[in-house]
Amino acid sequence: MKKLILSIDGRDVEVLAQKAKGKVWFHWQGDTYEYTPRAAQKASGSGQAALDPTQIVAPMPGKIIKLQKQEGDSVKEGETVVVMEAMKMEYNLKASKEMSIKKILVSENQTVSLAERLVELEEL
Amino acid sequence: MGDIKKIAIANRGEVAVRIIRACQELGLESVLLHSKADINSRAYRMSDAQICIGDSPVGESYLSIERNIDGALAAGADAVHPGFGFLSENADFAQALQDANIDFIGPSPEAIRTMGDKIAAKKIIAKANVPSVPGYNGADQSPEALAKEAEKIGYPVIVKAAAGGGGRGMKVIVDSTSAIEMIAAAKREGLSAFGSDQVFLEKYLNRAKHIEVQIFGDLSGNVVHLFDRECSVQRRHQKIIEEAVSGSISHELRSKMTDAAVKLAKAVKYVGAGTVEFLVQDDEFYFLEMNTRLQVEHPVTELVLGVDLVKAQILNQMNRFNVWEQDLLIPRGHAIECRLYAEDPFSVGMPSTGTIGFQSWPDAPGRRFDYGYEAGDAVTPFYDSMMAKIIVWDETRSRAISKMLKTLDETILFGVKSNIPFLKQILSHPEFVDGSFNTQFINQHFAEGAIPFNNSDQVSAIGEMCIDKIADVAPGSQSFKSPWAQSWSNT
Repeated sequence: MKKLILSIDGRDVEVLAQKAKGKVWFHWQGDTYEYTPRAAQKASGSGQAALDPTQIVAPMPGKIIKLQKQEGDSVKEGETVVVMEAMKMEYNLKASKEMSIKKILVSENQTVSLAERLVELEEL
Repeated sequence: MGDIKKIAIANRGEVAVRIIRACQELGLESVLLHSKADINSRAYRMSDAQICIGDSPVGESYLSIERNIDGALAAGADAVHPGFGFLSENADFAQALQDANIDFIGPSPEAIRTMGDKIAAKKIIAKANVPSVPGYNGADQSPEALAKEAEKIGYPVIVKAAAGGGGRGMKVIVDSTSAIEMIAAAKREGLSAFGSDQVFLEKYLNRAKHIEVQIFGDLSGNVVHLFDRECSVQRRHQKIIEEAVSGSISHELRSKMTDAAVKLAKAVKYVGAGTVEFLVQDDEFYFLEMNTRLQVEHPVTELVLGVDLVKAQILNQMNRFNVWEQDLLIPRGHAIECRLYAEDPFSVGMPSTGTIGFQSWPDAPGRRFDYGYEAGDAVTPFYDSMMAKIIVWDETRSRAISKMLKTLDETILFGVKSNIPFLKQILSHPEFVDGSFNTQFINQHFAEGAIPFNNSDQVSAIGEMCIDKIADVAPGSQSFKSPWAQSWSNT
């Protein structure tokens, strides 16, 4: 952890900061921010995966509790496809638009890691 | 029941730390019964001895009666403190300890069985003439039969795990289309979190406040109440902010509720610390459930009354405790607790895991920090996401709110995302400030989580400047963790 004095808009401000795993954590004016450097943002195309309607990825590490759909099924927007458990709570992973299930890549009771692809979908 | 020299702690995180502190102050030895994942934890470092009872998944460690008993025996412990969650309300565990000649710090297995099983509790309640919410607690547990009963009660209906608590295994059913699916989910959550898929149904009160009464019984049958706490700020039935005492009930209602709680505790010959939870709507109160254990939010009661509930629990078990005199228990000022969850505050409580790179708790008068992780420790997906609790006391409610906001501003936590931005928005909301909020507060005002920051340009600018000026650290590596980090807290 480092205490930095940065010049922002001509004013000196105090920021506490730490780099970890390619990201910067800093505390400034009462709030803490996790910041991904611009260079890394471009490289990984960060944010793309979550918005892609053709796949459902694990938003956290955890366990697959239930698969509500089978390959070939169609799903409506907002319909639950996968039920996951993490930190003792269940989470419903939903389809972001009307699609059909192309491929299911996991099975019930399987442990999955963060951002692991669970289901592939395709346009109807 | 007798002399206790060594206490085994069948828990983890901040509550394990809380119990270790109480042991230390009473001159007792503490032994932590922990999982593999918790070797890097504050409780591990603070306890006098540690016994690894199994692997990281809860079923193989914290939820295993057998492994906890074996651990307590191996430790040579005279007593086990179960904390909250895990096996704290498991009558079989209390019974198994009794059979192994080890004290369970809590009520008798019979009292846990009666009150901990929310279905049996409702029957006692009816006998004691304490009002309760209409519902179904019958033996037919098939999702189809339960869905029919839900229809009879009339939607919205809440389904709850009979052995549950802490918001797990609870679902609100709004109409018949999702009923069977929701009931099945509640049963699964109950089974995975508490080892039982028994559920019951209740009419869902949609603008109620959650107000609970702390009670305490000694071995001679005396029971006192330690006033009330309001815990209406909840998301998915998980409490987020708690206060003592509630700022929103009348004198008359408070005295009716505390009387009912004491009456109930006496009816089951209750020993130790317990909490009777009520829902309050339109100046009427309804019994919700009794928790036969210490509560997460016990510190707010401790701060307004100047008591130590954990030490009282231990001394009571040793028969060295005469319960407080009711007339001398007078709440003073106002206390607020915020639970710090490891989660993304802007995406409806999505858990966040990782290694804590740095943390700083801004100590000052009237502030208390109960925490289980330190820099270098990992927050894993195996356990509940509560990392810490911040509790403040001040002379009035509005000053306590200001103090909490200031404290949260000054709290620094790097490496794992926390709900601090969310907590600050709640504390600043007009309905929270004026006290009119109910259990629907989060749903109504923060359904999408906290409102995102709107200063991304400045954040990028500062972030880029920081990168230029500081070096990477690898959390947990030798260069990052000093040789003294094991014994020093970084407050």
